[in-house]
Amino acid sequence: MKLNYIKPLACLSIIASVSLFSCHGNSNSTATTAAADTLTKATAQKGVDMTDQDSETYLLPSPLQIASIFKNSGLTYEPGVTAPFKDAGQFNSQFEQALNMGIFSADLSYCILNKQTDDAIKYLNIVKALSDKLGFGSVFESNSFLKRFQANINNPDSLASLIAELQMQTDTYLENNKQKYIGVIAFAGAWVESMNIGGTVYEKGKSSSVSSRISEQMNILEGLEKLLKKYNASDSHIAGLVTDLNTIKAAYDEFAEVKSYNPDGEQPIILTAEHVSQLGVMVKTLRSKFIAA
Amino acid sequence: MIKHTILALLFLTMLAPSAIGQSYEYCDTKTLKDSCKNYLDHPYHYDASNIILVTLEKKAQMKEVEIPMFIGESYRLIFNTYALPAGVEIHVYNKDADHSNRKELFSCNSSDATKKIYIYDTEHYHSKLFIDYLIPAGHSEGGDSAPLVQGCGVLVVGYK
Repeated sequence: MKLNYIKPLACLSIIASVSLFSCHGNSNSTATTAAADTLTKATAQKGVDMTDQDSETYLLPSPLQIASIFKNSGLTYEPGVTAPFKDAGQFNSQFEQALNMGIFSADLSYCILNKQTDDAIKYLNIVKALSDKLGFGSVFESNSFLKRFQANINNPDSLASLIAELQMQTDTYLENNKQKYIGVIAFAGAWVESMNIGGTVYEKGKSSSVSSRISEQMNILEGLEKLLKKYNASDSHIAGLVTDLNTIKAAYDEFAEVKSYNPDGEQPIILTAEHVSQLGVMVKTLRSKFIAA
Repeated sequence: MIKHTILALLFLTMLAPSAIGQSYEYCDTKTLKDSCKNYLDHPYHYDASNIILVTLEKKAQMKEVEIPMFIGESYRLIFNTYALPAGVEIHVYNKDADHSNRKELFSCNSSDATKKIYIYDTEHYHSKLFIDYLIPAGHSEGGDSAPLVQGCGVLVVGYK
């Protein structure tokens, strides 16, 4: 019976492969746009249901990308700005473990991109230990991740690729095990830590490019809050986390440059130095609360 | 080119036997995502991924996914339509569905039986991108006893 599949399958594979050669280009033709507009209008007339209960409607970036964005904007390495090394055993609840795994993941990314390999290994070990506690340490075992990390320790580009691969495997694991809320809590930790690093280093040089990056990160906060609210029932601590993050968001929304910003523009908001500092203080306070757990 | 051909062959060979037996209900997200990852060659790094679960209903549906973007960054969006029911349209816009003046940047659909992976490389800065999945109405024949038509769409995002 299975043999009957082989020829059609081979043909299908070849046809599909050949078609892949031609599918890398963008499809921006007027005809495509017109067809899509027609479809959108047609479905609207039929009464399209907007459903989002069963799928994510917002994508969160990886901590590595946030670290990369800050680095590309001129954010330099500053000793002592990352979180103190801790034993994973200090974090008891799943919430604390996930939150701090995010914090240490952000520190790991910051160290890798700034060639701080000794610290990177220490942070990697903490992230691994917290992953074990959260039940998905197995992603580190696949593809000999730790060995490959050690083997490429002097090559930041290779390490960044490995971290990205680890992120993908972790995301898949959490999806398949109905634990996406853990990833969202971890991202909250990573976001706060990244903002803390960005804000602290900004104070040294007051770079406007870092300032615009900080305002871009604030855009993520809105999506993060939406996702946390979606998973509110998954962990009793999530509601408090949303309240904490919303305090920062509410302060940001009151800044004059934010209120007057044209969302249709193609430039980010440039925050004043005073407002970056104000955000920095709020983020630092929240981060202290997280790592004190 | 040769690498992509081999990867496509492997991918389809892995999925096809299961898909033949299970139609649209087959949704192995790991395999589907891994097949997208094969198109995240250097200089792209994995950033995020999204699974859209689809069940055809009596009425057409739309699901919208928002992706934050950052200035100066180049992104690659890889859509895997293999496990989507036929007729699902995917459109990438610069604004959400509430904006009538939004611009379509890319589109593809799940109807082509021979092409299941689509790639969109961003060209210009947008603070956000919106992915709209337009899901057609299911067949009315068979009433409530008709089997559910389900599937999933996979999106993997990489950055340079």
